Amino acid sequence: MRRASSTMRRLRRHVANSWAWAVVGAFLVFALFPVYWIVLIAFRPRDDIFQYPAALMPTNLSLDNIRFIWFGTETSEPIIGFLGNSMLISVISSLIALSLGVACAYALGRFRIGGGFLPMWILSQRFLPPIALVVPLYLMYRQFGLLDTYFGLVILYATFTIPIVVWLMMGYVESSPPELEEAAYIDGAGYWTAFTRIALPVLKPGLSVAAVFTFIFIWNEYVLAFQLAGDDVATITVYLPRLRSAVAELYGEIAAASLLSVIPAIVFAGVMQRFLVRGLAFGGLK
Amino acid sequence: MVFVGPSGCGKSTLLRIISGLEQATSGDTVFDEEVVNDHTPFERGVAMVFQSYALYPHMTVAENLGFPLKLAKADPQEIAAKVKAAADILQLGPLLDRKPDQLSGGQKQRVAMGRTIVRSPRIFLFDEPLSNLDADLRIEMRLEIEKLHKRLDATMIYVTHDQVEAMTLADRIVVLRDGSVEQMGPPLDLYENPVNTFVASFLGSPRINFLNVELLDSDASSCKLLLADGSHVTAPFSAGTASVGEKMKLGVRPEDLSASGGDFSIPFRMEIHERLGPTSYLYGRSGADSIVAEYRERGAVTPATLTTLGVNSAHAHLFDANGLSVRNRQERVS
Repeated sequence: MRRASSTMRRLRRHVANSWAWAVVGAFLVFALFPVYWIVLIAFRPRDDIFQYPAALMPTNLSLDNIRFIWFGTETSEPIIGFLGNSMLISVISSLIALSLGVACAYALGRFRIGGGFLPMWILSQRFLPPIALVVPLYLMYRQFGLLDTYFGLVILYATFTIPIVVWLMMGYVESSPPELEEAAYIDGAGYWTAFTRIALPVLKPGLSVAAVFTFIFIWNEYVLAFQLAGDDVATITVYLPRLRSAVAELYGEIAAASLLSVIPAIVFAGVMQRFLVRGLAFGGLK
Repeated sequence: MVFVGPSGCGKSTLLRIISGLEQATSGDTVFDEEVVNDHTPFERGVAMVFQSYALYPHMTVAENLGFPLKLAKADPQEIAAKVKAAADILQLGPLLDRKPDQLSGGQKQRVAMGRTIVRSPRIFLFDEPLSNLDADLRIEMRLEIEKLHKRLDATMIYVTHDQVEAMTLADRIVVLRDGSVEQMGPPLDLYENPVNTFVASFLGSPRINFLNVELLDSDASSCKLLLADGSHVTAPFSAGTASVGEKMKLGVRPEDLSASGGDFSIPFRMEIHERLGPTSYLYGRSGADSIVAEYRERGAVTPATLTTLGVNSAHAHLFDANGLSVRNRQERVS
């Protein structure tokens, strides 16, 4: 009797597990198939891309699409310039947003400057969707000569991402023990030294999360870049739609460019993950 | 000097005001006749051991110890020498290259103390430094702090809510309650002459017993007290300025109660006999009052064989209805 009930239990668990695997499997296929398809198209010759019915497995592999976007053609510029623009703008904007954002979060979180109102006001800057600001920003940028300049995009993205950094970092600041800085004050540190030499290293895991968020946000931003960046500082997100021409849909090339455009973001997130060491802040306490 | 008192009494706040981490809303902080209200913690020359140790997690033990000297732009050789000296005193030599998360609680505590030593401060401040340690380690570290105090012969202010730490470590104890100093003095003085029921009950473990009594009569050398059960006793000490009929509390420490002897007896109904080895404690009631008595004899004791307890009146205390010691009241009146 006992054996029968234990067999039933095992069977029930097995069925429940099978269901779980089925759901997870379906989700994985749904989520990863587009990525797989992009990789597949990126390495397929043009004729194979349009074959019907489409082959789900790779057949002929070709580097033509990669070569096309890497070296460019008479009508299309090489991708490297756009990647460079995106990298430059993303890195500089992220650095500015992180530097100002973490200092601001520290002041708000540690010294309660502005009470509860100021942090909410800072966050409220992100309530407005970017597209609502495109027209006034365009007019303003044209007036100040900031259209199609690195400076214009950098200050715009830094401004847009500071609220994210502030809110993310405020949580880390509030959960990190103030005794560490107090110990530093007693050891002879001023506010700045305590912040840079004690608080910042402790906040490093939070900073790397904020860095990944801001970098990827800026790297992927399209609406503002499309309106405010011309040929000189066009980013990768502006470049991708340009591959859709009136005469031909360059699906293979778009797939190859998409593939190359995600690589820096993945590499950056991977590098930053190294710093996401949890528990660093609490080793010196209790 | 040890600040002792229950949670929330203001002892840590007082320590932080002394350290300069917090500003007092009124009054002055004075070091050696110098007002230091506007001085930074560093300028005051204080060093502090925090309850949470507050070791810098990204620095090694050596870097933690040398950090205050590095900030003072000391010569690297001097830093190394002072770090080594502190490490030798606290046996931290083998741990110098470790990070705080690779240390045990006791080792972290020693590093935190080492960080204070390297600076040779005017005052050492300890904010409940042992409260995160287990019982054995707490005793060990308490002895270490005592040794350190003797070795450095420096002013140390120590905050704790543990009366055992206060009694063992202090030259002088300050008992605090709700932000006010209740009493200050050498530990045994406070133990033997508490000014009120709060101080009397805070110092001593198990706590002092309080018997509700009424003053029937008093003269210069004795007083007659009515106990809650209706019996009355004559105690060989004066009730001071207390008036006849006044409701009072008779405070007797467990070690001043005995199964036999004493200057007078109180009724006792034993409930539990707790044996700890060389001594044991008898828990029970005298009328409606809970009583704990120390019992040093080895034999068993039963409620039937023990119906009264003798009181050593030399160490008994009489408190008025406001909880003030009549001796203290006498002193204030005179």
